[in-house]
Amino acid sequence: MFKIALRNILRNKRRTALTGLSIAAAVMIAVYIWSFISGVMDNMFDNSIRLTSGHVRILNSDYVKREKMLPLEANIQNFEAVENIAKANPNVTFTVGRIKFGVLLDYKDNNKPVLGTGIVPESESRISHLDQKMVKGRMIRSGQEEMNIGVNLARDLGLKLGDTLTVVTQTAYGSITAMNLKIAGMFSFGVPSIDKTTFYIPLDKAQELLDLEGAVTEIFILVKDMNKAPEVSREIGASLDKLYGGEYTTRSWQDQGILFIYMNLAKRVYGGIYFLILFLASFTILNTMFMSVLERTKEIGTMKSLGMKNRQVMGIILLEALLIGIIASFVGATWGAGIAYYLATEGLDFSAIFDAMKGTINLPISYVYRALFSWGIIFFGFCMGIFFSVLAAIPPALRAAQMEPTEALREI
Amino acid sequence: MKFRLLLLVIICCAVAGIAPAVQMSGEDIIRKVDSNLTFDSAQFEAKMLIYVGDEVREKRMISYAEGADKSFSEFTYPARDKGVKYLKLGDQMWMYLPSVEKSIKIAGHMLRQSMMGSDYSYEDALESRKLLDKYSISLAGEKEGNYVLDLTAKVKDVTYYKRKVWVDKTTFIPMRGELYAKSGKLLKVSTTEKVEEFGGRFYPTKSVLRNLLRKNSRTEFIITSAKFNVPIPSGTFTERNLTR
Amino acid sequence: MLIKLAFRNIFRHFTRTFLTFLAIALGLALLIIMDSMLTGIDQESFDKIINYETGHIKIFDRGYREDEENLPLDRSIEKPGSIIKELQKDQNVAGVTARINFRIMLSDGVDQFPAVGIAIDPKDDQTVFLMKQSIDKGAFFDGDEEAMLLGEGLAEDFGVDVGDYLTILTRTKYDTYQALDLRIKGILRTEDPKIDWSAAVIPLGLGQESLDMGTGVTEIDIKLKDPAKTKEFRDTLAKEITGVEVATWKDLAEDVIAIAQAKRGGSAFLLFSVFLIALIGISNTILLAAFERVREIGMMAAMGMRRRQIIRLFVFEGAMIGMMGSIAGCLLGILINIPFVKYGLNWGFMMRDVGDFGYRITGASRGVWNPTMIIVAFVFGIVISALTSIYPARVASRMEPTEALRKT
Repeated sequence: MFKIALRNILRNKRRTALTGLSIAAAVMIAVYIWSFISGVMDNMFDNSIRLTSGHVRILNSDYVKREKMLPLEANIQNFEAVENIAKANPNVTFTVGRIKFGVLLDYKDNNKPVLGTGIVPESESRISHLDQKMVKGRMIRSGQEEMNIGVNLARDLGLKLGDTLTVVTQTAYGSITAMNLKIAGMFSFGVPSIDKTTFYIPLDKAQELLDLEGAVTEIFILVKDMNKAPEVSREIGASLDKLYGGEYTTRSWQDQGILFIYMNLAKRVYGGIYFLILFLASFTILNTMFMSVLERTKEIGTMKSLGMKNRQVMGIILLEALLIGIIASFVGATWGAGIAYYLATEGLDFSAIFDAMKGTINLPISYVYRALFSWGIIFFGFCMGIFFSVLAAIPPALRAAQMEPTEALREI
Repeated sequence: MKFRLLLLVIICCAVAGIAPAVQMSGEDIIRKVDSNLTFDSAQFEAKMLIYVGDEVREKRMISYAEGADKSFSEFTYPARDKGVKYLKLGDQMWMYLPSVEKSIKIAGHMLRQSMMGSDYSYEDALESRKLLDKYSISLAGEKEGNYVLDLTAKVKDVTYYKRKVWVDKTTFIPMRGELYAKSGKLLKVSTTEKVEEFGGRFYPTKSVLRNLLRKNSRTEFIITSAKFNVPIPSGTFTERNLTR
Repeated sequence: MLIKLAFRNIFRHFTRTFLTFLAIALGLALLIIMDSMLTGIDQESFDKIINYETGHIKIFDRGYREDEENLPLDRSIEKPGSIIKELQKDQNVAGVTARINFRIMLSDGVDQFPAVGIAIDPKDDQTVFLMKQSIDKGAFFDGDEEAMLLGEGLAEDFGVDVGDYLTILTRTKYDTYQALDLRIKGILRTEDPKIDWSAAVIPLGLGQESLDMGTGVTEIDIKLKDPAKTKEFRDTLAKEITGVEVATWKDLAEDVIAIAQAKRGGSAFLLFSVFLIALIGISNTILLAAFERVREIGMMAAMGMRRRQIIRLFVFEGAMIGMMGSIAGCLLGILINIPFVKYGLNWGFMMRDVGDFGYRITGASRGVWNPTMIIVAFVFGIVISALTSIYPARVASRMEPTEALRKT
């Protein structure tokens, strides 16, 4: 039977080719579109996660509710010990401590509220990729009294690279404190609200400035699978409770505020869009297959008049569909993979759009969309192609197989 | 008839004039308070106890003052705050921070900040001596040996729209002050808990300020030693002295 | 004559025709719907801004925007009355209202949180904004009363409900301390985080009095009947009133617009891919069908039809199927889009991790009408069908009639 199916396929090359092409194209598009959407989605979340909440955060329980006020006295003491508890969890890939503090900077005759963050410069590249966002100068170094400042903020304050800014604020215990910080570099994340209101200093200097020796305001954690963050958050929370009672709390990125709700919303919307595309793609396969089998009614009639039984005829047709489906899906999946790979590495560069808008918005970085390269996605596309090819072949195959040979022969 | 009335008035005035408690106007009382609290020169050692919940933070300072308009303070304790200096000249204030070797003028929104984490804001420190200019003062009555004064803002730019001051009738020291928001909500209460005599004059040596909006917080200001009318080196009340 | 033949052919091969027709119809419908959805999502965030934060046009005092972060009360519009009256007379204006924005701390006597105070005019705020319709619990103001509306998130943070009291701590225009103990009359759910999570709303009269603003306001907001005229209106207005700054919502929402622009690139890519699938689907079906009719073509040639006529015949057939498919597709797309635009698609049963929060958002995203897209899709359907019909017709008609007749 296999041989007959194969011969049939090869007999009418054009038809086979067209059918195959159609299937391959549909699979290809299904693969790279989902790669693209996933990539863009992940990117969107990722950015925000890296800049603010991490996958999981450990905070002082008193800090949680009053976070907007950045209460320094609700801190994590001996933070390295606490950090180690998080590190012990097998799902955790990275941890680092941070201090966030509010400052009033002198600006014209008024004061500008600004956010300062004490970071470990060497680790920061793994989190926010700050090192890649530097527009001028270089990243700060531990132990140095220097800062990295957002470009817009520097501009508003009239500061240049190398200038010294005196930051005055209150320590965790109510004393006035200040530090002269040299601007070692300026950064831009491309998000105006961040570039206008934040600066970074080394963690050890923040601890010194704010009387927080050995302490931090939050421990920032990245995990292997960000979708499992709530679980990991609970696990770490339980370990912390054993040692510290309820003093420290964990939070996963999913419950970090309204922003994430909206992002989840976006994910669903794009999921819906993908579903529609998938629908169209599968319909194309169905359509093509259907028509393909339909066209062969005469052939089928011939086979039947040669004495083949209904079941056999159907079997052959389905086998043909399977063969074409497998090959075409394979080809399509490969093409799709190729495009996905290109999109994942090079990405789609839309910075031209921003150049056009440069007048109004200062975005010195390029806006590149990257896809997610995933074997899972590719395999799914492959299977989908085969599935629909065979599925589509069934109804016409059934119909044709049951026709009287003479009827079949009569159709043109 | 009229003559009898007039005579009555004159007699009353005479009697009033003889009576030891002179019938003063609100403004007179405040003037007297002001002059009481003002010395040609003064030198204090003081400490501030800041209570936040269960914690107490103690800060110590040395202060110099000349008249009502000039004062200079330097913090001596704890180590964290040692060397922080404040200079007040009229209604302007500067702060010097040793850690950055810089003096900063306290202006704009910074005025609203609390001093050293206490319940006093910089604004409070600057405004307390301008009562006569900014408020219309009336005597509301007397209570437990104190004059009770109602102060209502007569200009727009005041921090507290309404104040109430209890002034001791004998010492003319303000014993209690209440600070109100424009809506009439009570925001802060200051009480004088200890008054000492210094060579015939009285001076409050322990004041407690409560910020009613922050639960369980109060600041105590205690003068541990005071010398009045002693010579103060010239150049003390200058910006240069901050950086010295 | 050819057309009649084309017509007959179409119905003769009904199944084939139908499949092609289906491919076109579905492809186009999808295109229209996707475009509507993608544009709708962007529009959603714009709408939030327009309906809750800015209206179409905002008028400020000339120095206000520079210091905007501090929400300064001393850079206000002193006498908004005359401006508002004039605007109310304008034909283009659907609604005008005035507001005061001011920085506050909200206190329940134990905790203090920073927030934003918004004083709105209970009479005409709803001609511009949707504040009144967003009351989730309790009620809106009846005139100038001593009460506040609180954003849902803040109510949650404080653990308060309608009827409870909170204190608004702020400063008057002259920097005098002000504290207002107000009863919560209503809880707002606008799905705009700037309101739900950071705003306490009071009546304008109360605001003006408590903040010592006299008749002053910090902004005048305008809603236009025809949003397309926004820029025009701004320019005209800027010339007519002096001493103030006039801005459109776009001027004020740079952040959001930047993001939307960026997303447009991605959306374009997605739509392009849909075009591609539709293209492949349609052309494929036509090609397959056409190549099957080689015998037919052979017969026609044998009967004396010229090549050109055969090709034209197929093109007509293609175009006709295309037209039918396009009509059906566009109609289908429009029909599905109607409920989309009207009611939106509810994406969310988005419960946050219950336990701590239990805050629910219903994210409904509305579709948009984009007539350009519909027209493009329509034309696309016809053109592709017609064009792809050419190739097989040319190939087949080039063959010798005998050869053609022999094929199966």
